[in-house]
Amino acid sequence: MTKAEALDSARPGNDGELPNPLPRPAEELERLEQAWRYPPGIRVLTEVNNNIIGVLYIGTAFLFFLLAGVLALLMRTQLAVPENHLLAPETYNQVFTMHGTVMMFLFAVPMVEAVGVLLLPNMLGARDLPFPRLSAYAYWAYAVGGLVFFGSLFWGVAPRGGWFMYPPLTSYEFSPGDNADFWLLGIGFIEISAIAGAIEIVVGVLRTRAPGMTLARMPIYAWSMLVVAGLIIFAFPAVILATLLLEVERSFQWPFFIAAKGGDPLLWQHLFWFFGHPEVYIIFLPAAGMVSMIIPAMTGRPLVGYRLVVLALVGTGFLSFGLWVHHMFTTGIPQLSVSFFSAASMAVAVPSGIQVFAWIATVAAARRMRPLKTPMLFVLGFFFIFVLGGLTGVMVAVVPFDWQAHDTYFIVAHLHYVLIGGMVFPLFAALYFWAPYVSRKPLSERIGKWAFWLMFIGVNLTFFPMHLTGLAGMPRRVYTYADHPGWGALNLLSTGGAYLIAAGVLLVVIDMALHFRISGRNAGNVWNAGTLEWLPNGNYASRSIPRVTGREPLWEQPGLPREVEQGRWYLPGAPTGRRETVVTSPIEAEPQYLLLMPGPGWSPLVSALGTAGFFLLLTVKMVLPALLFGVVAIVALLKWLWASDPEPDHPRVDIGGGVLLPVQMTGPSSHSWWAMVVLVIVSASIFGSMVFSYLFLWTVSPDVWPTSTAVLPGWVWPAISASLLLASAMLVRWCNRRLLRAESSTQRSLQAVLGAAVLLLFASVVVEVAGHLSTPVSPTQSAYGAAVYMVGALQAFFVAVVACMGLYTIARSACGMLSARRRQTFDNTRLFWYYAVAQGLAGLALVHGFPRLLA
Amino acid sequence: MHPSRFTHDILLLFAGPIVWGLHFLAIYGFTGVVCARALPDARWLGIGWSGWVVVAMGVLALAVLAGCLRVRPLSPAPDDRRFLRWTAVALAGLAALAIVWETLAVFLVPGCAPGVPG
Ligand code: HEM
Ligand SMILES: [Cu+2]
Repeated sequence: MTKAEALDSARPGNDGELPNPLPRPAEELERLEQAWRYPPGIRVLTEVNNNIIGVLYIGTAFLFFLLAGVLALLMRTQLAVPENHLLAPETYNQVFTMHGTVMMFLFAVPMVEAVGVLLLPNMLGARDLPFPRLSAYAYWAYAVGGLVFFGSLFWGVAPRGGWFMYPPLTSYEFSPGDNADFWLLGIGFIEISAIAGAIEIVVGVLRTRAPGMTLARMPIYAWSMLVVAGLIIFAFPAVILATLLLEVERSFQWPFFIAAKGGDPLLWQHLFWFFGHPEVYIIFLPAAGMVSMIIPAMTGRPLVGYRLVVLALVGTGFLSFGLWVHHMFTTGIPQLSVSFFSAASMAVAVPSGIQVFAWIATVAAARRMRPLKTPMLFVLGFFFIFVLGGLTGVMVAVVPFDWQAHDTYFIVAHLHYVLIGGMVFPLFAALYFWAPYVSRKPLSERIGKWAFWLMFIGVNLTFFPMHLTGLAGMPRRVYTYADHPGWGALNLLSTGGAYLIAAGVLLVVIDMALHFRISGRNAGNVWNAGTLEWLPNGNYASRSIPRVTGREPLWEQPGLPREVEQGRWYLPGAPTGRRETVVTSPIEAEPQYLLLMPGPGWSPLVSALGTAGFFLLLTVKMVLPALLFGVVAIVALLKWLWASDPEPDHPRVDIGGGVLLPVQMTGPSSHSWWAMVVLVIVSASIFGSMVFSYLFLWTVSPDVWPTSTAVLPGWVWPAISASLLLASAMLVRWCNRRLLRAESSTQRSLQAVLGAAVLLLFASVVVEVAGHLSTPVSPTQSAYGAAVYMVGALQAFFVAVVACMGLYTIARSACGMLSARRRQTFDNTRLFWYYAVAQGLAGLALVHGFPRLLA
Repeated sequence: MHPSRFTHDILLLFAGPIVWGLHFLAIYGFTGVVCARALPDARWLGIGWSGWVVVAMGVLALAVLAGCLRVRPLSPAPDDRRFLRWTAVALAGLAALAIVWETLAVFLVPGCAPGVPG
């Protein structure tokens, strides 16, 4: 029997064996509350705790839903009757582009992460996410950047190229002015906060689960968020690179998408949809995860087929990467390639079907369904609408049908059935379900039911007729239409439906205004649900952290809420006097160490404002003020980092039950190392997208690739560059050895060697670029030149980042803040350094090796 | 838990989908290059050589999948081991289904003709 099993079997209900005995010391709770207390007054803005950031995050995402909804109403009003002149065509283009962009990027994705930030820690039995300041930073950058982005509409500079912004329409030739840049900017913020969120979620879900919460006992919602974080890590890099390429093309005329110079607009479509299809699942899987939590709570039955649902989530996540070309069926891709994607699209139906059957089976086994509560009503609405959307999805997956329906209102109907059914309805279910977990009162059942029926009828009334207008040939993205037989009446119906939806949403807003109150205490476990987020909680999450023995701990361990609140489980106070949580092992969730967490501070907010200002000002080409904001961002960031990686001098802490945990940890088990690994994977996928772009451009325009080695830089250039890279990695390795020896006298030489390593890195980039400058190839002349220089530019960026990290590490060492025991900073720098060297070598092999293979 | 044990178990868990991903990348990349370069197409049993390469890649992927399933999880708790094994096998099954499905396309559609009307 392992330790975990011994504890599991010793446990049930036997009061004497809980880790911490009663009575608890008088000042224990006070100390815990003190550590987690919110700062007073305006300084509440500096709070980083997930309860506050999560609620703000959700509120902001909801605000964007309302704003984009107003745009939808504008559009529907314009389309109510034929030949309408309410909106000018130019305005209409901006409105539909903003509606789509804001709904997808400023509402759906952030909402998904926001709910995760609010729910995950409590559901897992942690006190907070592992990097609270990172969430706060991501939130503020998104809120400020998003609001300014939305404001571009009022100045007439909003983007107008559709939410997927296909070039060449959006390139400098056909979209001069700043409109398209605002789009690139707006989604830049989402890229930043999505990646930050993914890091939080991966490390949080894998490392901060309550003791005993093995992978096999993890709540389904946590599984769905883990898969979603994985999707973000691999899908967002493609769109990050795509936006980068488009921005570079617009600013410097490097031709990536311009056919006349060997570029190809299809490259954008590939990169965009490689992100865009998984994006649909980034939106849908968390919603499915919520449904899998709500149904068991509302029916009083554990989810049927837990393992099958996990399989479905993971399987869908992976397969969704093999579907991107189904958005490109009409672009002339070889038939065999198209059928790979068609086949993968069918395969993905298998796991989706499994999930639906698991839900139906659970509902069929229900113990306490009636009377139907509002959350369940929204779940049923989700079934209905989503299944209908799935059916039309099968229709458009049939290639010949797609040729017919492509770019008509049929697609608009399908898309909204899927998005509204698959995301918006589960979200409202979640709102009604989880409100009592943060609010003092639950939301009103009566208003909720009214809102549901208005929305449900409204959605069908709005979007069902669009199938018909689409089949009757009405194209999408037109600002008005002539009075073809039947079009007018159907459109009027759609518009009426849209106002019904709006009325439903308005009721929900009123309900929240009336009943939603955050004030320390909450309404508690009103649904009698079984998972940990329903434990009694405060700012510090639960008073003590239980050991769980099953998937629904609150059902299986009936005394748990009381025991937890009395502080009889692990970590009942704040032994270090600071905010802290227990880090556990990633598979069997055994406690490993105590993670000290930062409290409130201005730096996340200030550096987010700096970041937002930097990008915004750059968009309107105010370079100097932009740089100023950039400096502010970096200074605030440094200030925040400086305090992390403290001296691990605290003695081991007894969290109860004889478990003695070290405070902080370095090396591969530490949470910061894990975050760094995730960042390396993200970087590698960005680079992977770049390699794909290079090779793709070669397949479409081999004629602009060199036919002889004469136009390539001589092989000495890459050889020198590669040696410099390798040498810098060797120096870092040497520093690592040196640091392990732990004499303070080694620090001087360590600083010098690390400094030399930074110089070598820089030299490698200079040599590489000098090599290319010695040839007649230029980045503006052809797609080949652009691709070659872009690989170099990407490397230069990584080198700059690593250089900053290196200098920062040197500074830490100079201030005596680096030692054999206190070395997180160095370890993280080293990991990223090795990555940058590997990327540099791969880039050299591609740029210098590949053309030589051909020539 | 030792990090390498975690890596081992997680790789095992996702072995099926990872093999599927590599296989997908291989057949898509291969077909893309063959079609873009319009290489000469010798036929055998009605299918071009490139089609047979795709079939071979499918068989190879299935073989690798079968090999992965012989590996055992390292987690110390029997509960975890059962869960990891079950999920790994099920995911490998799903991946195998997808691989077979995609390979079958070779027998149904002509290779490089563009997939657009007209
Ligand atoms: C709630 C009521 C909604 C209404 C009445 C509505 C209405 C519309 C209309 C009229 C269009 C323009 C179609 C065209 O001209 O091609 C549109 C496009 C779009 N909508 Fe919605 N919508 C709603 C909700 C949503 C939601 C919740 C999402 C996503 C989460 C969403 C995502 C989109 C997207 C991506 C487009 C495409 C924009 C483009 O073509 O660039 N919509 N919607
Ligand atoms: Cu898709």
